[in-house]
Amino acid sequence: MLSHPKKKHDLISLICFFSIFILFLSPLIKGKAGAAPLTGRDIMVMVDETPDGDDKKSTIEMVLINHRNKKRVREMSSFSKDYGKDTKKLMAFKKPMDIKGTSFLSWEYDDPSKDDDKWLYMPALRKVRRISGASTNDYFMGSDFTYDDMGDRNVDEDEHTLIGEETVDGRVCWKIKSVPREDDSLYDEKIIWVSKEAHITVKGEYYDAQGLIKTYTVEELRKHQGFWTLFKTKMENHREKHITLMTLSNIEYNTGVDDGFFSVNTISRGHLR
Amino acid sequence: MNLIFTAIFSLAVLLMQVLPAPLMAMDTEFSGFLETRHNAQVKSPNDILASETLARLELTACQGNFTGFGAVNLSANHLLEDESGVSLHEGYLDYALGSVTIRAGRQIIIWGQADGIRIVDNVSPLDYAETITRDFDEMRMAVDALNLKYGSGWGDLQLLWIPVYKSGEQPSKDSPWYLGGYGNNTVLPDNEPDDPLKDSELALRYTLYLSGMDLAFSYFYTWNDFPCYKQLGTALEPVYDRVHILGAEFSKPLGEFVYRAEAAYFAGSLVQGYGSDYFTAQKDRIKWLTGLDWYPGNDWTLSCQYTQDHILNSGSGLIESGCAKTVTFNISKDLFREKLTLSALGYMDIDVKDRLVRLTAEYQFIDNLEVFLGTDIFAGDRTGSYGRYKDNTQVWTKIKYHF
Repeated sequence: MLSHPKKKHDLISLICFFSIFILFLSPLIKGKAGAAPLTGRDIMVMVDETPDGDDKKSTIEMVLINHRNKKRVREMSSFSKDYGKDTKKLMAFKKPMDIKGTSFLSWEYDDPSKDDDKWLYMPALRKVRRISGASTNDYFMGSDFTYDDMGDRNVDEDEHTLIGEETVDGRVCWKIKSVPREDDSLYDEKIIWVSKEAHITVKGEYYDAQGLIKTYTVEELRKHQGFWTLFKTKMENHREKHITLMTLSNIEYNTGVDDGFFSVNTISRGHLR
Repeated sequence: MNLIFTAIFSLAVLLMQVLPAPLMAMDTEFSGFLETRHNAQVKSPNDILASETLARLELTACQGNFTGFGAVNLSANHLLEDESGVSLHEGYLDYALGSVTIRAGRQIIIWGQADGIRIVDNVSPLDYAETITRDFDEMRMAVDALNLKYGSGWGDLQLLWIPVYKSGEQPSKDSPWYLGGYGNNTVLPDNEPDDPLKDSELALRYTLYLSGMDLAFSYFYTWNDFPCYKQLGTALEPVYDRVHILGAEFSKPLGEFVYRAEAAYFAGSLVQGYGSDYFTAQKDRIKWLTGLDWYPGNDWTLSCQYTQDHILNSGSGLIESGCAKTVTFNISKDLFREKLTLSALGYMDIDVKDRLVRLTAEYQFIDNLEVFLGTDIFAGDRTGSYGRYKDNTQVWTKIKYHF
């Protein structure tokens, strides 16, 4: 039996129409599927990968303020250089005078299963000694920053959840909750605000089982030599009523510092040039 | 020689103060510390065992690839007046070019992984003149040396030439730490090695800083630090002799721990003997040490060490033990954001069972001002290195201001 020619024509037209319609819609459908919402981890990876030059040099001043408003000042020269995801750092103390000349050298590895290599030079002993790279929860030189707070904790050591968006000091931020995957942190939980523009943490709250321990805030963040740069930060310990103000100056990126600079030989000289 | 160095450095410091500004264009820095320390015997008659006020003036000047450093001690010893005076603690010139550093002049050189025990660390001698309880770093004596270092990525090669022999210092007769004499024998004048070429000392050390491990190997062609004595009738002749020291060091972090080991072989070390007369003998000896540091967090540091000193084929008549075994420990804790440090340090001779325990509290009143309170407890058999000072168990205080 032969079909009706009109009906056949209508069917072909309908198939063509739907084909063109689907073809026209497909990029939109595909695009919709590709723009999956950002996760907390995605944002923290962006923070981790924020451009900061191949190497960096700066002077760091830490002012430690106790509950009686008494101040103690620490000043150090800081140098760092990236080697892929790993970093070599050198820090030499200038103040106070009793620890002047004390220097730290660290080779920090992104792989959390590998302990960092760390050496300490103490001028009174005139000796470099290897120290453990495992204790990253100790406070750095009496400040409110732990070695972990100052270093680059691997993104996957914490579980990150995006919990909202808020504005902090006029900066539109992602708000993220970070919970350590293992029981290796001082904190049970961190709430972090990441600037959408700079991809830098501009505020952090640190909690343990008893509640809020301390708050991190950024007081000065701006572009310097083409890179978003932290100039002033503050860490306030609410339990001990203690504050640490950290100010960075003389910042230089991409200085081309030689690999040999990040060596034990450099810190053992006792004076950095 | 000492006087010449001191005079040159003092003149340099003076010139820095009076030179016109253009000549002061080089980057200079003046620093140092002022310290006063006093030790008192716990037992009656509660004698003062040490009392000194010391000012150390340091000057660092940099110009191009050169750095000059000098440190002068101005000491007023309230107990041993002969120890008072002005002396050059260190004074050297550094030249750094790429991976090469040359340091020439009077300098303190410290090797090894051990704390408070000398195994491969034989370059800078020790000054025991006043008290054996001062910190190791305060007892170091600088040597006049040419020190060349080449850094090559993972490792450092160090070459040393020491043209001027420097012996260690023993406590004098009027010191509470005097070790005793040689009976009625007359000690002949010192005949220290003094030819800057023939008698010079040479050293070589290669250190590897690897990911997860440090290794070092060294060779030191030197002299014994202290003379041994040979009987000549009723007189004693001081004898100095050459010794070859081969050393190896190792340290490895393991989580919160750092494991350390160190060993040295002394070929032809001169040792003191006594039979009916004093005699000297050349013996090979092996010293080794193993230690563990623990950094458990919360500002605690704990470490312990075990060491042995073997005189090979020691025979009889030697004053030293043929095999001395010592164990040490050190515990310290920082409190109040590193304002207060409490520490306990101990040494014990396992055979003689004599010991020294030092307890210290260090408090930082303000930045740059530290106050120390401590006690040194000597106990055990009086034949031992620590037990002999049983009567010298002391309390002490030290105030130190850095500028």
